[in-house]
Amino acid sequence: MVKVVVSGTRPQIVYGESKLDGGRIMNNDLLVDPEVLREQVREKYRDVALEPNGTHHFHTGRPLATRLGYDQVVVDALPDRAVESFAGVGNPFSLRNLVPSEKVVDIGSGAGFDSFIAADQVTATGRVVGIDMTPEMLAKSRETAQILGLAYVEFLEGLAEAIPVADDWADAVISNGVINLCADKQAVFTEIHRVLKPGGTLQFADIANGRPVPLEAMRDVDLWTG
Amino acid sequence: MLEDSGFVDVQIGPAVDTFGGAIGEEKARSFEVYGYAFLARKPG
Repeated sequence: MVKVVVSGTRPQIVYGESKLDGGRIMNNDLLVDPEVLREQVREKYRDVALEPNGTHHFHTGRPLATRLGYDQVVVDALPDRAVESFAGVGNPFSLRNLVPSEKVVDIGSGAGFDSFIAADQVTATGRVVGIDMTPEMLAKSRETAQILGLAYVEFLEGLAEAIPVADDWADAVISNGVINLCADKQAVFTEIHRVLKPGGTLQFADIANGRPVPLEAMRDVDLWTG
Repeated sequence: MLEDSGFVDVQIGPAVDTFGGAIGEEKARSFEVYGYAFLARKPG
């Protein structure tokens, strides 16, 4: 299901079909109940964590990483458990590589794939903090970090709308296919802005649609993850 | 929305056929859904 829309030929994050009222849909006009949506997302990604090679409506794992243009050498060096549950929609590193020593927050880090790519770029002089709300994903990412001996990578339970990181901490925030699954996108971007240092970068991947989605469909929470 | 949240220098990468060949391809095609990379900066 698509929540990011296109205006003209240039994709923009503009929240829903707000043309109906000529303005943005505000926080009290969310299209779906955030907690109901979160539970559906947890259920979906619990499956991806536990059965990465199961039947999903999106690609996963190494074939997806190749499709999205990730550095093959870096991906090949990762163990299967670090890659198999990857379910991103683009490449957050395609417009900018991270820099050694940078402190990075990965919003919706899942089983940790993008966090491990980030770790390779920032090196051991940097820090990577992955945030996720699905217990099975957190368990998998933490164990993988331990196996890889990446002491400068950690994974915390949290929400994109309430990131457990101090103000102005991060040099960069990354995310991949997660913000479209959040009911209150404005709250997410405000929170990302809070944790970024002045001059810090937000680099993320997400989906956008070229045709408008009917409002009734956007209010159907089952379609957001289906 | 990014600018509304205080970000500047927003860049958007080329479209990627994220769902091509996947079970969700038909639905994605019906709404012309593609993946994009976004880059933005917090002023300072």
